[in-house]
Amino acid sequence: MEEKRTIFDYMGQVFIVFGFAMLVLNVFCLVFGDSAKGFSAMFELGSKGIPAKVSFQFLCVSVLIVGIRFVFFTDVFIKKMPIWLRMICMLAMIVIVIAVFVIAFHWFPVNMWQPWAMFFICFGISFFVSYLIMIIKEKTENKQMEEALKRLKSGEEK
Amino acid sequence: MKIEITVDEKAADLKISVTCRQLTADVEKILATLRMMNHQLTAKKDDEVHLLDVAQIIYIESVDRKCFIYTSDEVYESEFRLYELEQRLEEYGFFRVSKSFLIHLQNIQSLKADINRKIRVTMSNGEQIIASRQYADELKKRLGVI
Repeated sequence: MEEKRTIFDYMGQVFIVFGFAMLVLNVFCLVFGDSAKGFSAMFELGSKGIPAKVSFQFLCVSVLIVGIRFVFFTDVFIKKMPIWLRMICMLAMIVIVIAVFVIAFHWFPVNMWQPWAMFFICFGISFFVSYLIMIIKEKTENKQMEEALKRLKSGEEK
Repeated sequence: MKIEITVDEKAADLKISVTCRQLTADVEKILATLRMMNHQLTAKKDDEVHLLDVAQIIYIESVDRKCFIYTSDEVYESEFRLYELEQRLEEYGFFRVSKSFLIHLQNIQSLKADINRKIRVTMSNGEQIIASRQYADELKKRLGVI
């Protein structure tokens, strides 16, 4: 009876991550594209757009992020681990993967602190927001289930 | 097997009598089914047959096609398969939460959302059971959450 996820479910997740990343990147491209043109492979076309090779690199990152999520947020590989620890491990792995891509594909100069700061701020904000949504959703769901359980128990006792 | 039904308007209560040469496994199963209608379940422990009140049961686990019945302080073995127990105990507030577990909703202590849309169910004896994704949705429906 267990509902199996297919490859298409994971492909869907990849394209959600990819789509969101490309949306943010395009906004950055319009705002900072021309000023970053000289030193960033991501913005080598200035504000005209994102190069195709960078799009494919981001597609690879999206695949890896979904893979990391699969490792830490299913019990296929890790059976018992608290959610907060899964979250920290996933976050660390994603930061490492992105850092490797930054260095390997010269997305921005490694020795400049400003792009790193921008990267961590953007990543931190989006991560914090998604974590907050997840926590609120989980707490609401737990509360609803507890209340429903109380109702069920009192209903059956009557 | 002969089935004899006598309708007697003067009968004070429903009376079922079983006459057999030996207490075979089939006869035991018939008796167990009848006891279940009386909110009781027969289960074995150390080669002794025990009569359990359905309310005592916290959860039932299936391991290698054998079913183990957990009460607050004892574990018994049932002659029924999990799907049979599921069908028979559904009306008493039992609910299937995974391929191997049938839980008594009255004996749930708490429910907590787990990873991958699963639910971590803590029973009244402190035991934690994971409701798998598909069954978790059914459990939510049963609770009226979705």
